[in-house]
Amino acid sequence: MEDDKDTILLTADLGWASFDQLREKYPDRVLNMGLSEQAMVGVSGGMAKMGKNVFVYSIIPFMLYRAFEQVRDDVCYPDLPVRLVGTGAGLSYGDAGSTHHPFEDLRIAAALPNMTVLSPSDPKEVEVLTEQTRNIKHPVYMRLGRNGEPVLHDKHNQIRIGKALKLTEGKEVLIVSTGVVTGTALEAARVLNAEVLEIHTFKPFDEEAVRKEAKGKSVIATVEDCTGALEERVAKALAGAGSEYKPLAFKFPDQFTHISAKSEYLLEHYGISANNIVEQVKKAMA
Amino acid sequence: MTNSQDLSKIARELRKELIVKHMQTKMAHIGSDFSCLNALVTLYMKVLDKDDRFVLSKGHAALALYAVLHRAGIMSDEVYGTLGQEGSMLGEHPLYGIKGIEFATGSLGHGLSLAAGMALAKKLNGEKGIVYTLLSDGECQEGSTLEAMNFIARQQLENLTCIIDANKWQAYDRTLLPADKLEKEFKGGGWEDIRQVDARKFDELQSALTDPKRRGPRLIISNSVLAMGVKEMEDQLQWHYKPPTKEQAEQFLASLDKEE
Repeated sequence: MEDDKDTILLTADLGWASFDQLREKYPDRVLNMGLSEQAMVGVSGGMAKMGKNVFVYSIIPFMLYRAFEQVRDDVCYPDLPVRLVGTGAGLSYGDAGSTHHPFEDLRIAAALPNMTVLSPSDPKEVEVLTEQTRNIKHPVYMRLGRNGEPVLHDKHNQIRIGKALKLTEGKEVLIVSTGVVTGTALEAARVLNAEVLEIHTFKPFDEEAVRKEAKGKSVIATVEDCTGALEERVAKALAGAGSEYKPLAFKFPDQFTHISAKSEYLLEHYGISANNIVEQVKKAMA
Repeated sequence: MTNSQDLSKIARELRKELIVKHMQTKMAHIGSDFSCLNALVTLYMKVLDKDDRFVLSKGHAALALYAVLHRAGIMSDEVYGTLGQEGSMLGEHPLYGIKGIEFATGSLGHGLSLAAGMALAKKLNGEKGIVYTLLSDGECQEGSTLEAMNFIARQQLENLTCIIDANKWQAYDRTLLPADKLEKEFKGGGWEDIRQVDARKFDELQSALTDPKRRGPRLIISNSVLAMGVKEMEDQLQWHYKPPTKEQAEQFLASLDKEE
C-alpha cells in the first residue's frame, strides 16, 4: 500500500488485530464496509472501474457465496482487477462448523470466466503470489488458511502464477496437492519417497506439468480440502494422455460436517492425513 | 420554446421511437422505459457533463437508455440500428462493453453499490463530477441496495445522486415500498438531501438534479407512473411484459400525435 496510492482494502467487519496498523496508517484506504458483503463486492467493482487496485477481504463463504452474483456480474463480467481474498479455506475453520467451511470454493471460483484462482499452501506463498498479482489486470480469487500455517518449503523463488510447483522428487508415486493440506502431502511423501506437485494456481490449471510429471508413475494421488475439485481437474488433464496409473483421491466427502472438531481432527476423520495417504498408497502399490 | 417544452418534445419523440422499437423487436419492459424516460432525457440533455458518470441500475429500461444515448449523440446510428438483430450488442438488458454504458446491469440491486464505488474512487482521487444512478422502486427491497444506502451515508459521498423511479409497480404486484416509505428508509439510513419530484415535470427533475446546494449524498424520488406518457397504457402491469402489437402501436402513436 506504501508504494501504490491506488491500493484499497475493503473488509466486511473482519481484520481485528490483523488490519489495525494498516488502517491506522491508511485510514482512507482501509475501509470497514460493515456486514455488507454484497455492497462490498459491488463497491470494489465501481472502484476498480475508476482505476483503483482493490483488495476485498472476508471469510470465504460470506464473500464468495453470499456475494456470488456481485462477484460474477460486477467484477468478472467487466473483467476488473479486483483481488478477492478469502480466509478459512477448506476445513481450516475447524469447530466453527460447516457454515464456515468452503469445500466447494475451488469449483465455484473456477467456474467464473476471467477469474484466476489461487490456492497457496503457506504464508510465504501468499506473499509471493500476492506480489505477482500486481501484473494481473483481471479478477483474482485467493483462498487462505486461517493464519498460523507453517512455511512448508524453500522453493518460493520458483513460484510463477499459472505454473505447478514441484516440491519433491519421486519415481513411482506422484502426489498432486493444493492449498494448506500440502503440508500433509509432504509429510506422506517423505515416507513414500513420492514426488509432490503443488497446484497453487487452480485456474489457469497447469495441465502440461501434470501430464509431464505423471509419466512413468504407478500411483497418482490427489490431496485437497475440497470435494474432488482437484481430483477431477487432474483426471481431466490426464485423460487420453496414455498413462497407466492407479488414482487415489484424498478429499472432503460430498456432505456437510456434523461433528465439531479442530481442523486437524476433521481432516484425519475424512482421511486427509499423512498416515492414511501412506497406507492407501502402499496398498495400491502392493 | 422554454427549456421544459424542449425536453418534453424530445421525450415525446423518443416515446414514439420506443413504441416502434418495442413493437418491432418484441422486447419487454416498455412500461419501465416510459416511467424513467423523462429523468433520462433530463440527465442526458441538461445535466451530465464530461466529469459525471451514470449507472442505470434498473437495467430492464435499457431500450430507453439506448434511445437517449443515441439522441445525445453518444451511441452511433450504426450501433443503434442493430437493436433487435441477432448478434447485436444491444440486449434487453445492457451487455458489458457498450460505449457510454458503465456496467452490465439487469440483475436488480447492483447499481447503487457500483455507483458508490465509483463515487468513492472519484473522491479519493480528488476528481470533479457527480456519479448518478437510477434505481427502480422495486429494487430498493434488495438487501444489497440497503447495504449500499447505509455505506454511502456513512461515507457521506456528496458526489453521488441516486434517482429512484417510483412507478408504483413491481414485477408482480403494486410496489411494496411506496415513495413515502422509501423516503423514511433513506432518512433512517442517514441521508439528508432527499427530494420528491413529479416525473412529468421536467423543471422539477432538472432543478432537483442540478441544485448545487448539497447536503451529503442526494436522493431524488421521481414519482412516475408505469408506461407514463401514453394515456392508454399508463399504470397497467401488462406493459412490464408485453410489447405493443402493430394495431396497439398505431393507436399509441396517434394518441401521442394528438398531444402535439
